[in-house]
Amino acid sequence: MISSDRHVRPPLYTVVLAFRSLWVLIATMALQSLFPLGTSSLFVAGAGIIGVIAASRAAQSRLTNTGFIVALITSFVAYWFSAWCLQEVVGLFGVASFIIDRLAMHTGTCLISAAVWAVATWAFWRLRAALTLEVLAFFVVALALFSGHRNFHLERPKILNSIAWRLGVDHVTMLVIIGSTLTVLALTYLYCAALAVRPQIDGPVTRVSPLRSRFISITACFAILAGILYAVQSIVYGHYSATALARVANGVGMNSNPGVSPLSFQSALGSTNQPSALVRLEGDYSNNPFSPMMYLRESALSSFNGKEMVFAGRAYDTDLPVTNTRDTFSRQEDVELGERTPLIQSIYLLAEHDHAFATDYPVSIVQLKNPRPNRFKATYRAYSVAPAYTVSKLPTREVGDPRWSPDIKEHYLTPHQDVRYAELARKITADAKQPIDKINSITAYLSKTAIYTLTPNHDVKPTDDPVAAFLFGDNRGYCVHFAHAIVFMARSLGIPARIGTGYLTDLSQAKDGHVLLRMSDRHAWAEVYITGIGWVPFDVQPEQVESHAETQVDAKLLEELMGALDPGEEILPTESLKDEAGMVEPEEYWVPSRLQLLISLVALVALIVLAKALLRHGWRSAPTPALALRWGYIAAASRLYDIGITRQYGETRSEFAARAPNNMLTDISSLLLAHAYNPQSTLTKSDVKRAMQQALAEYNNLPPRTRVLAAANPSSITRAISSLCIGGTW
Amino acid sequence: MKKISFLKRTPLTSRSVIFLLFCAYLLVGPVPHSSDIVAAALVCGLLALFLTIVIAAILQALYVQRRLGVELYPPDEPIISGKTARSVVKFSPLRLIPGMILECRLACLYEGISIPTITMFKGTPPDHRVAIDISAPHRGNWDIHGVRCVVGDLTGFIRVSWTIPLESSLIVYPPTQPDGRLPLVSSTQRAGDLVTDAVHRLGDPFDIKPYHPSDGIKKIIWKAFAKRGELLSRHAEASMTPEGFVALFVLAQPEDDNVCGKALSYVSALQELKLDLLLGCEGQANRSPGHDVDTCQELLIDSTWDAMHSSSTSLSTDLQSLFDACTQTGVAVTLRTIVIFCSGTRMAGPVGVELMRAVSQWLEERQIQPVFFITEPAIPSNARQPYWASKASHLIFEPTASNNDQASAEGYQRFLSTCLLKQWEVFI
Repeated sequence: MISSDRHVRPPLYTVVLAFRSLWVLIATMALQSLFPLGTSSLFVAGAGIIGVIAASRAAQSRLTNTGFIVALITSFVAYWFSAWCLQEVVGLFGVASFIIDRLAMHTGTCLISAAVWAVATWAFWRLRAALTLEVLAFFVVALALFSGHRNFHLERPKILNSIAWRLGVDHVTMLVIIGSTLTVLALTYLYCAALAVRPQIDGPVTRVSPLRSRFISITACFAILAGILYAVQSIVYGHYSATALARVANGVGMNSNPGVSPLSFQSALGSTNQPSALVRLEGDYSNNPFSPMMYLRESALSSFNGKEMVFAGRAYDTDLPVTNTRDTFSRQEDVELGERTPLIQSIYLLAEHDHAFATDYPVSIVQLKNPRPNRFKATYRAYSVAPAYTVSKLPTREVGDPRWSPDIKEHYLTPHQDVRYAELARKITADAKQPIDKINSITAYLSKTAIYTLTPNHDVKPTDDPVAAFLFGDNRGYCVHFAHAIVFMARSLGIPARIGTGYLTDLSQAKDGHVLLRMSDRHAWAEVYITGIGWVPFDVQPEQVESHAETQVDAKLLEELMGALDPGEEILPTESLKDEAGMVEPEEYWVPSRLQLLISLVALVALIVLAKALLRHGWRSAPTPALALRWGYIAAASRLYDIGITRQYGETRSEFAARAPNNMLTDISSLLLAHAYNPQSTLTKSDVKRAMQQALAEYNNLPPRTRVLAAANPSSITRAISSLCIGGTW
Repeated sequence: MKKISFLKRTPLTSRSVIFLLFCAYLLVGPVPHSSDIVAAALVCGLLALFLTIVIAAILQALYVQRRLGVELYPPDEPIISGKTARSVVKFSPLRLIPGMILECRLACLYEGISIPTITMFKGTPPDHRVAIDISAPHRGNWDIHGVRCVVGDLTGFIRVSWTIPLESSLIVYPPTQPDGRLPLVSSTQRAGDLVTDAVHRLGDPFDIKPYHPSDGIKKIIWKAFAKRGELLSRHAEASMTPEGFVALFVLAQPEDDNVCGKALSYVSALQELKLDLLLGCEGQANRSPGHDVDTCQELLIDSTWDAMHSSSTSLSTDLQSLFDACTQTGVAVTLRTIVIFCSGTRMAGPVGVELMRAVSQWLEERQIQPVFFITEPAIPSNARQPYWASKASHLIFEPTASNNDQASAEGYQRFLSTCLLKQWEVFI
């Protein structure tokens, strides 16, 4: 029979205090990380803990809510008065008062911390709705603290970015984990708080805690809830990761499936400073025609689907190194193209990319040894034949490649059906004679009239032309809109054009030839094929900028990454490229793979099964009858232990045997006691076997469900281990 | 006190409603408009777990509703007000899903009794019995009409409640009070007839003392001298047994258990002396007056809830029914004196004035002299705080019982002066 609890202090009072104190510590540290308080975390947390303890003690006293508020106000008034007095006294001696100011500030912060936690703790003990409000406040504060990431500003808050960076996980994963953690923390808090008794609210309570083991059911429930949470969060992750890339990369995604565009015409507010790759220029590139900018092409969109430009597939755009980042690529250099210079780039990817990118146009891509596998997703070296022409001399050139078949030519000249593009193009280029002049006129027109913004917010239906809303509408847009407008107009004038996608980076922010590419550097631009030179980018530099992504490179991060590179990464021999595992150096931290985890799990289960079998059937192979008897008794008692029936403290074996279901322990227990009291008596294995058969027969009369659950319950193993280690009898 | 009304509640708690509103806000606000990924993960996780928990709790509640049976075993010993008594509640065996909670509480018709809520986290205990400590604030028949059961989850999102009918009653007795050497008063002899301390009287019980030279020689008991060789003398005493019987009236509200205890002690003393007595009380209504300890005790307990609603009119009725009962006994010719037990605290308060008016009017009409036996406080506290200080103190600190019991010295003196004016005897 369970008797009611009668304590002066409510049950779990100390546990509540301990948990709340721990909570204060964690919350203070988190707050300090996200929003520096200006005072040592130790002091702020200490004050908070004092607030928790004081409020808990006060809540158990006769103090009313009004009394508590009066006490709080009094402490603040006393603080203010003391600070004022101290200031005045110090002023009399002519001592600098800034020390007092600082002291008052730190004390004030601590007092506020103590007051906030005291109010929360008081409410916990005295108000029924306090728990709900506390959790809601927790949600609101947490969401506010992490709100910087909204609209896909995934680089915020910075501390989160740093943690994600150190852990090597992507930001969306990190944010989803935070959301899940908040959920789990809140529910766990509510769960634990429900166990505490609040005398003023709950009244007298008698708790009943049955003495049966619930390992399996608790584990099963936990597993179900965890599985549900995981499934739901996977959906959330899938939803956001799909859109996040396009949103954080100036609307320039990485999809390269034929007939699909990686570009987004939606608002690209999330354009972020998130590091994407580190590029090391191996050699001088002083004759860069676009200096200080440099284009790194990843893909090109040359097929028009009636609405927008999409990826054409491998039949066209053969200049593209359509290879993934872990493969090698090689091709013959196009000797017809001149005014180019060799350029070697070592590229260290910090985010996953579907395709390798490099300066136009790469002739070879080889894998590099990854100096930090936990940091860099992939590493490769690209050998490009980079542009070295003079932009000012381009207008004299012709466009198109004479080697193109009519089909290819038509492909690059497919115009938009909307005649407004052609009309506008003709209007803009009325004075231009040469094709390049015409293109320059178009870019100049757009530079002058278009407004660069990451939030154009055009109200466009899925079937409508998204570029028309920009070009014939408010002229507000970003690179995706500009590139499309140029290509549509160029094609209407008979100029072969396409859209290049990749990175546009500012070399003036490079350090010792190292360039840090960020998601905000992702770019889409128009390209025109110039005879004898190849595809040349034509970009818009809008004079009116409404909103723009951050442009400052994180120099500290760049230096850190430069430090992570070895002085000279050797290109891996071909044979070792086949076995990528051979390239991986021992990791700083051992992270088990899924296979290893699976093997460990299987091994653990096997070990449990083995131990269980030994515990249940070991008596059969005992060397002596005495041991067989002892092990047999343990085998029977362990079965009972697994169904939650255990010998209580102070209970004799006979009493326990009388309490056991179906009297299953009667024979074996009697035999054990008889042998214990008279060790000289004759004991044979057949005696033990007979007693055990009786016990097992009775055990088998229990419901099958009970026996199955008992067989799966590993509690008896832990009991056996503890018996072996610290003693104790079954 | 008012009857507890059990309102039918929806399974969702206010907490879950607040959480759902919060989730709805996130779903229409930050999640779609600001692409708040943390909020999306939070709201989706919360809703998924919430739904799981709600479904599990409802299934659990259906299972428990079907399986749960409850029996109450009241304590073997009498329950004394203000003291805890241990009862046993027996449940039918059942198990709960982890994270679920079953709360059972005896549902009493009246508020005030302290019955612990039995909270089960994992199921019923191995022997299916739970001992609970019950404590009633005052005497009375505390009717139990059922067991209020609540199945919910430990996170507090859902609570399914129902009542299992259970007819039982807890009889709570007033605590025994020492009689305080109250004098015996005859109701039919002369007013204020008083035999000093009948129970604890001084001297030996048989009026026999060792001989003293000042005693007259006729007082020597020669027979005793002949047998024992010791000189003993007899001292005659007045008869300790008043004629007729004693009529008592108890002015006691539910909280005046000490008054009842005192009255019962007095009745017990009268009964030991084999005196006839009749006891009426406030809230007596149509009940018969008590004539011995058991019937008096029963009357005082049964009349508790009626005493709560007593008024001047009902008080007159109660006095009248006692008067009628006295005249019908045939033992007494005329009722001259009535012993009234009452609480000093009550008489000193504003209610006391009203009571005095009603009682005195009724007594004067019938030319009956009352003898007041006043219980605590014997000496009202004069060292009281000023009014504003008392109010301020109550604003900051919760009032204690002692604070509430402080009687007004002025009121008490007013009551005594009224008695003096009317030449009523008062024993404190």
